[in-house]
Amino acid sequence: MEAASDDRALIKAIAGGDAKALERLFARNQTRVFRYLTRVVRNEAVAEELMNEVFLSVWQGAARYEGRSEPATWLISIAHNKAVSSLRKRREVSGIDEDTSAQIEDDADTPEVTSQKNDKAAQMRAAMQGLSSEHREILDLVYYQEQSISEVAEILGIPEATVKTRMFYARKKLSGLLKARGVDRGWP
Amino acid sequence: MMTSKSMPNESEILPEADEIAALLPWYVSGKISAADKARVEAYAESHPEVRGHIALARDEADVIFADNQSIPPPRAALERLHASVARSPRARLHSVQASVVDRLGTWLGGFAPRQLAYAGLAAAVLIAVQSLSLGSLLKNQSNPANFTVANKPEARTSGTFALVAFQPAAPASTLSAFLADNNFVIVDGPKAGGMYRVRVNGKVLTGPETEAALTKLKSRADLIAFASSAPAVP
Repeated sequence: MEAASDDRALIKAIAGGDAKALERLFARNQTRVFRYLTRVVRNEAVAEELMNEVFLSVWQGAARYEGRSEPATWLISIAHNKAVSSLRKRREVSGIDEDTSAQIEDDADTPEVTSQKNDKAAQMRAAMQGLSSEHREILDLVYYQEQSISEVAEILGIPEATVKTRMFYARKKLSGLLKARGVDRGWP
Repeated sequence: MMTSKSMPNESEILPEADEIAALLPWYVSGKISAADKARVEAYAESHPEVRGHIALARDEADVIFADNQSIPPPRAALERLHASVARSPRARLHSVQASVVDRLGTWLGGFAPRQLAYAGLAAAVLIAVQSLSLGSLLKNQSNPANFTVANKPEARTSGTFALVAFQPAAPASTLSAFLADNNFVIVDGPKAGGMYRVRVNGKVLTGPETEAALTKLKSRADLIAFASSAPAVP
């Protein structure tokens, strides 16, 4: 909570044109934002570019922050919009649905993946690669970004009920992908 | 982000067991409402298998946490942000405002209190006079007889634009002549910081051509206090 109130003060200072406040907000949040973007777009170079855009948007639009949401939720919400837009552009340019290509990759075990099959965490890690970007994103938002149901709803711009349904299907799909790898979680 | 063909129906109402399964990640992360937490625990009381399901959610959390932790922060990201911020119109505006405030502060610092009162009055008069003269300039340029293009809506959005601050002491007649001679047209202002939006060309200029137009503006330091490129759509 203290961190959130510090970030609120920084955003207020940025709205007043304080570039040093932007540096501090960046230092405090860059890792969180970068990791979120990297996990969603699956490309570190693109994630770096998008992170720069996120904080540039903060610099230019801090005055629009009304303080109703947590600063971290607001930042991730901006990052989400940048990521969605970037993925859409990449899909339009390449004509490849990256969610589909991820699943294709997942179906073909590489020797490395095969050698990891005895490792439970590695199995889950590999199975998660087969999830769609939306399913990976919701798992990250909750488990790593520690966002509540209402905050995830705000970030993704969907109703809370849909957040829960998406989470259910993400976890169900993960179980299915693990089962295809010979790991039966016993659920669902 | 997901294709519609692979998207399950997310608007459906989940059966209770599935909804509890959906809540478990928040139960594990601790970011769950008191009501939902109580609901999960009450359900687990009568469904012992849920304890095992909570362990599954913890496994998921562990893997995702470890995966995120393994991503190093980007290098030189702050320098990159500095460069982007420096290029942003907002930074340039703040820089001009700070410079004006600094100069004003230095100037006012040399006055006694009574002199300050007179100086304040003089500054207010100067600002009012400049607003009037520039306002009149803007009005005159919008006169179809003189600058027909400025009166068209597209004149405000199509072409190449600059954000300009005029020297407070610039005579309106000299300024008007300079703008007319170069086909520069004030299309909007004054904005925050006393800036005006000026169309420097009806066409979209290349980078070097835009720089040349800005250099022409800056060459009249007696009239122009600040000039930088501005986006086509304000």
